[in-house]
Amino acid sequence: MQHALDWRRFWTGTIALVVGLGLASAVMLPFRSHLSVATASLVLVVPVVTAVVLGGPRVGMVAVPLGFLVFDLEFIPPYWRLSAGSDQNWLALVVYVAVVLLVGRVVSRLQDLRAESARHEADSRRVLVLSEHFASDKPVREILALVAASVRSAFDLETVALLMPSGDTNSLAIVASDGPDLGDEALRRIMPSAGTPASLTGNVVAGALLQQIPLTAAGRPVGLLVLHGRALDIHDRGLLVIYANHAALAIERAQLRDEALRAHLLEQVDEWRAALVGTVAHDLRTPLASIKVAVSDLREPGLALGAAARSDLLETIEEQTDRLTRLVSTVLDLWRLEAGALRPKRELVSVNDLVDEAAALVERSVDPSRLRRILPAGLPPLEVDPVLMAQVLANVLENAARHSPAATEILLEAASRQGPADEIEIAVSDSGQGVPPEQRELIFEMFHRGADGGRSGLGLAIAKAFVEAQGGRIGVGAARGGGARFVLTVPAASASAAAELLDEGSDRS
Amino acid sequence: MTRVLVVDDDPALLKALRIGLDARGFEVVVAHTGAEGLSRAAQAIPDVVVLDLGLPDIDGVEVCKRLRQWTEVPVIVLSALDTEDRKVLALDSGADDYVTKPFGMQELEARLRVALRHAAARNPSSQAATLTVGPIQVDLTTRVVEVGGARVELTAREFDLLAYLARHAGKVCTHRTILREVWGPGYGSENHYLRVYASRLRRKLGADGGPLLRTNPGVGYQLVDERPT
Repeated sequence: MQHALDWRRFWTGTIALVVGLGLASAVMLPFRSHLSVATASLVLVVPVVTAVVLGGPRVGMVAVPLGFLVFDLEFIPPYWRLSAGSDQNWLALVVYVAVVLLVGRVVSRLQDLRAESARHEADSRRVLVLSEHFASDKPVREILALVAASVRSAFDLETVALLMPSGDTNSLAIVASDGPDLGDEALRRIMPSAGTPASLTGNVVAGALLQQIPLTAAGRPVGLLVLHGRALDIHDRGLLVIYANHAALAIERAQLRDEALRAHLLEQVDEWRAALVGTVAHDLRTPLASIKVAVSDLREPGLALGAAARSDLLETIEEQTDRLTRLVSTVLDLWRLEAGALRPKRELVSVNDLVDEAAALVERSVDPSRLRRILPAGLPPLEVDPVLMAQVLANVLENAARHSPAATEILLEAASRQGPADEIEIAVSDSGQGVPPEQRELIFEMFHRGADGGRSGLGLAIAKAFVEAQGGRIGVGAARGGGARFVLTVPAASASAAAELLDEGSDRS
Repeated sequence: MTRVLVVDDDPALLKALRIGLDARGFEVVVAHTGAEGLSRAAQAIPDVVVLDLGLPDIDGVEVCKRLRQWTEVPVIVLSALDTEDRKVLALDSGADDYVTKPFGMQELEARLRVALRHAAARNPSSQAATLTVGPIQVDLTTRVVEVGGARVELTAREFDLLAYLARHAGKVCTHRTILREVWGPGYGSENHYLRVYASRLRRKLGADGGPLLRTNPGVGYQLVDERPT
């Protein structure tokens, strides 16, 4: 591109020269015998200088001899001969050449300076843009891609790849690259295998030069920048070093930031774990306390317990044992889920089946007669893990039962929602005190202590973890009667999958 | 009939406690929250309060403090793992004793009886010159201590410690409280003093008196009128 521009300038200057000299000759030729040689030379300086200004020093090489020829042949007698006649004419000719050469030189120098300052300005603008990019708080991956892309565009290269030490093998690997992929040949040059001499500088691969520049921050190697494309001149190399230093600092900063974030995350996980252990301990001990009290009564000889009291105690023991069993298996599931050992299955299950399953899980703590279902016909099936999802719904139902007056209704509604992905909303509303807006996020946290009917314990936190593991959401709002309305949003099966379910019936596995 | 107020937020535990205490001849009043507990305590005037520390609305320690503003009713706190650190605060705030969940009914009943008996003994004799805890007699005016009629020689500090525990017989006195009350306001964390004095006191009180001074590891000391079962 630079080349084409230069040539255009050259031709512009040349045309200006030819036209200018032609015009000057045409105007002066009829009166040349009346004009002094000095006047003619002064007039002829004008088109030559104009051409040099327009076309640059290269035009000067043409303009000076051409101007000389025109002057000598046309305006210095004897005309049309390369002889200058008198000494005075010789002097005029020499002065003319000297002036033209001097002007040409000054003009070209000026233009050089202007070009250089423009280049400097462009360079500083590029560096400025780069540092602005790099100064922004971006994750390491983005910074790496940015380095490769910006170096490629700034230096007009084919491909720029950024290599960094990878993991524990200590070998270099490409972490970001811009432009067409480096070929196998280039890769071999960059990362030679055993027995192959590593040589990089000035290597021509696939018709283009392969160059490298190390990135270091505070003396510590950060990575290696590999450039494939045109040869870089000294000026470009200098700029590239500045680029490389900027990039190295930016990468290091991003790495440190990522590390800090990771450390913070680990800290939070630790905190969360500690809270979880505390909450689990509390939730495990609570049913144990009732069981122990009931058993110690039943075992005490001579304690005057009526038949009703005895059966009440036994019932308590059974209820609390169920509660404990469910809690233990849920906590185990939660930990397996977290450790990656439990992957939520994706099966098609109808909302009705799911509600039945959940209601059966909590039939001791949630009186089935309290449940009122509003489940429209024709709902698409859900695509979830049926066991985990039933547990989620059971926890929500149990929470509703615990936080609303005994024997009041618990409303279960479902509706499908069309969106980018089809989803089904299952809402559980109770007629308790409701959840104040400022608590609506908090109640899903592990160690939250509710404001009204007791601590929420693990139930809702587990529900949230399970629902999110299946790509769903859980939230709470206000029910129409003022109670709490928990809404589960879970992915619905696609239409084709739903049709399959209908076709295959119970054959699916 | 002895009236017990049980404050706990777990309905299952409340039910089991109600049946158990009922069968043991207590009249049971229950409350599910701290606020309900405070108002029941004022209405029903219980003889003893069983108070869970992990209440949903008002912290158990706070409930204890508020009760102490107007009543000397003995309070036994129920602590679980997550409220373990707060049981000392509860004792400092006026609770008499604690039971750690899960617990058997026999244990709770024993604690209830101790608390009730000492509360009954404490009230009329709070102005008396002589304190009696089982076979131990402490004469506050002459500073003479007898165990089963036999005189025991104590140093001034040993006597002050014994007198303090006898005045609060049945109550679990925390390290901090004992140190502050017996040693002086500048003390509070010198638990090793207490260990030394308690073991000396136990030795001097002999086979009859010694075992009545109970150690609650990490919490404090308690002087009770019966040997541990």
